[in-house]
Amino acid sequence: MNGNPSSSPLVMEPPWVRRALIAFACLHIGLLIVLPFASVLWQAFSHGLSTFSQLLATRDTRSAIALTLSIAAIAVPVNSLFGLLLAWGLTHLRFPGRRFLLTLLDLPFSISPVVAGLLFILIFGNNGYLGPFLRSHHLKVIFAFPGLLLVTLFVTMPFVAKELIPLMDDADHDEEEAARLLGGSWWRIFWKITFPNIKWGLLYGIVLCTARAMGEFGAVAVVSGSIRGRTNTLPLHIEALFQDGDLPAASAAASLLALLGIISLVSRGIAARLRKRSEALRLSAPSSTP
Amino acid sequence: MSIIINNVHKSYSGSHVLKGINLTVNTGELLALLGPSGCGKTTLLRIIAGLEPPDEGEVLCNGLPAAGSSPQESRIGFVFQHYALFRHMSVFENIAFGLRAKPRAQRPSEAQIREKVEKLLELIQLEWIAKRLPSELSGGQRQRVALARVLAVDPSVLLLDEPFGALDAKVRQELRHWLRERHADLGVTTIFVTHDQEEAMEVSDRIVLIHDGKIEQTGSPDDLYNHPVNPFVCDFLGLVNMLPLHGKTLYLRPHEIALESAPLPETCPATITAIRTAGPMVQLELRADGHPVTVAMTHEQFAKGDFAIGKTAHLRPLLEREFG
Amino acid sequence: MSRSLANSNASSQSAHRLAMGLGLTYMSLLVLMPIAGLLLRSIQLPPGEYLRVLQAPETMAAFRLSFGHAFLAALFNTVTGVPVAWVLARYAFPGKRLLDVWIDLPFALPTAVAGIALCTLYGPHGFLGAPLAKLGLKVAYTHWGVFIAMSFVSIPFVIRTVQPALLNLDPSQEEAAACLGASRLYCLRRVILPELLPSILTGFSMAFARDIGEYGSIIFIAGNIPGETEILPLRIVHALECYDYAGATVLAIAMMVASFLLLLLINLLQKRQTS
Repeated sequence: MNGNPSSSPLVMEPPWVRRALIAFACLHIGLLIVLPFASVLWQAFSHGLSTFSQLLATRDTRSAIALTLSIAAIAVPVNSLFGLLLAWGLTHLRFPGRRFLLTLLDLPFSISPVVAGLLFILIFGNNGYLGPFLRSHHLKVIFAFPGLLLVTLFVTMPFVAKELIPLMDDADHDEEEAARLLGGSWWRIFWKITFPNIKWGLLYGIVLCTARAMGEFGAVAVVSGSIRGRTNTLPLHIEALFQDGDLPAASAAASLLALLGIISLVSRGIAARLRKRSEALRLSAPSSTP
Repeated sequence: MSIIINNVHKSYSGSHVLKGINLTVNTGELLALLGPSGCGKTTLLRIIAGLEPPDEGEVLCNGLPAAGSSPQESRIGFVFQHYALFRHMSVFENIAFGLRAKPRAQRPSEAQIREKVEKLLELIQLEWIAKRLPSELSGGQRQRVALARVLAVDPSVLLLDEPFGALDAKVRQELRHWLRERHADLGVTTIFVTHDQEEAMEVSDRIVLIHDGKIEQTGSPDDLYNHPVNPFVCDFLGLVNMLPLHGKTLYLRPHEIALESAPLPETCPATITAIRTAGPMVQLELRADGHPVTVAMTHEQFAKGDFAIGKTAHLRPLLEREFG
Repeated sequence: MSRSLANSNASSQSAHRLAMGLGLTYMSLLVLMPIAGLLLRSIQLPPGEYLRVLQAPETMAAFRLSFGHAFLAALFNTVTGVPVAWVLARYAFPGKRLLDVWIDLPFALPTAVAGIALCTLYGPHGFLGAPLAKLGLKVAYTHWGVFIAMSFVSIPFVIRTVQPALLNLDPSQEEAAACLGASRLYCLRRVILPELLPSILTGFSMAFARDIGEYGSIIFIAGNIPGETEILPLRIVHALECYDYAGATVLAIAMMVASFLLLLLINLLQKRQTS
């Protein structure tokens, strides 16, 4: 009974208040979120699909897309793996400083992307801690692919772990305990009991991580040097086109990236529904009615 | 204030919770709504409070329809099952809430509020916790604060939803007494909901037994216990034996059966399977023709007889209670 | 039996430890070491550097702009977010699920896309920008642009913290207030809002922190004139472009300390509220 708003007329607002509030919410979201989004799509597609694909067909745009994809292709698997390890360790071990670590996990989210870029310049830049060493070995990190990859790893580090920790905390440690009492190996327990509980969360974490890896702007801007055709990722390329005054091309590239946003929103919905369904399945055995 | 409930129906998403309730509550009465969980008793209480509208039928307070007027206007005080104290307000502020919420014209002065709250704190014997937050109180203390909060607005009817449900056995016992005494002092018409028949019998003047959305029986605790109108009432009010005897089925309480050592025309034989002491009584478990039977007798009677596990005794009904 | 159990326990314990060790090493190398590097730099700088950078009028203007507008944007999103959360938590109406999905868009959209989107909408020829310009309100390339971009990226925070808090409220508290004769407005003020305050403050501080650090979406629409519409993160970027690492470090540290102090303050307020 708790959790549901009371059905009592005594604690209901009068209908006109209700209607006004709903209208306000729709207007607010429509004006502030939907309208800008629609406007960028309009800019990109207003001259038809063929113009849209022409806008994307330039050499620089193609190389920007390729660069963005290759960064994500490395950053996402690496961060998914370590995110999984961190979440698994943090939820199954109890040790002093554990809560502190959980807070530290938020750092990449709470630091300004620009500062994140700066952190890596201070280490790998010409005047950085490792600058002389890199120079003497003719290695380039800043204004090159390794730098872009590093900052992307940094800003997308927490996604998978943050998504998994609450799931692993919620999931029945009793079930794992029972399996252990039956003598299951840690690998079997992980694969048969832990993994099925977290798979949708893991998938969603990976989607979020991918979206951010491809969409990151500030941190990447600081370490890229924005050399067109070389170190310009897709988001940076959008800015370059925008600075050139080519709003349609910038919008076209932006709509391509906007797809990422749509995909992560849709998969959020799907993941939530799948999770609810598997939970309902798990709970349906002991109790039949809600 | 008297309350008349006329043919009240209520459904939630297809399930019929109340199926035509008719009831009159007299001024100053202490009434228990008793029934198993899910029988609709809490819903009925909420409808009386005006927290839910009935689908059909009406509730009249002093002859006037309660629907449409707020609980404040009809002066109904509702104490929630889990007390619903305001978590971020001190005990004092909780009790003062109803006074401060009044429209400016009717609002008492700060000094009057203080005086009234202090009087109520005295009434509930908790003057020393005025500054505490609800989270720092025990269950029994919370219950009393919830009551004081409602009494602050001078209700003419008190509605209590499972008032002792969330308390330990001992605190519950104390509070039952306390509630009876307060009712005697204040004389406010009081209706409370409970699923515990002992509680209903001990506290109330009159019990309304509800089952499956309908009133099964209304009457004094003695009426319901000794003169139940059907097997459900009989069974709900306390332990009952269904005894098939000479082609009839008798519904007898453990103390309404005597044990004889020799067969008589109206007796039937049974084998003793267990003997245990239950407070002032001794309880014997028997088997008669495959039916389990429980019989209770005083320690004195037990000492007089010759009872042991495995022996045969003869059941003699002390009264004839059967339902057509 | 007990032996195999002990073995299995020990092996899963060591598997957990190994996972933790690998994860921690990764986190330390990637996150903690660079941050330590920044802190080390900052204490090696002579105090004169701090004064030089922080006393520059452009820096002070950037501080005022970033913190002031972040505060205003977070405030705006708090005032508008609470009613939206209320509608989502309490009312049923057609299209509610769709509305709920849209709210997360600012989180999901890459910041550069948000920047372009706001520019196309509020730019001098944009759908909203043109009529607003006629009314004499220039949004793009002014401090209004900063406010709009900050508001956009932090819309979801307050809504997403208040919404679950509203769902968790015990309905009987409101019923109790109503039974005691409180009007709906009085109940909102004295019963509901105090219960929501911790989550409102949390949402506000998250929005505030995000707005201070936000870079991508703002620079498209802000005009970026030093001393006028140049936000703090952009100031850092400009310092780096001039190879002024010391300046960038000072600004980064000052920004982190200032936001840290503010968040600490809000946290304290929140704790005092809940205890």
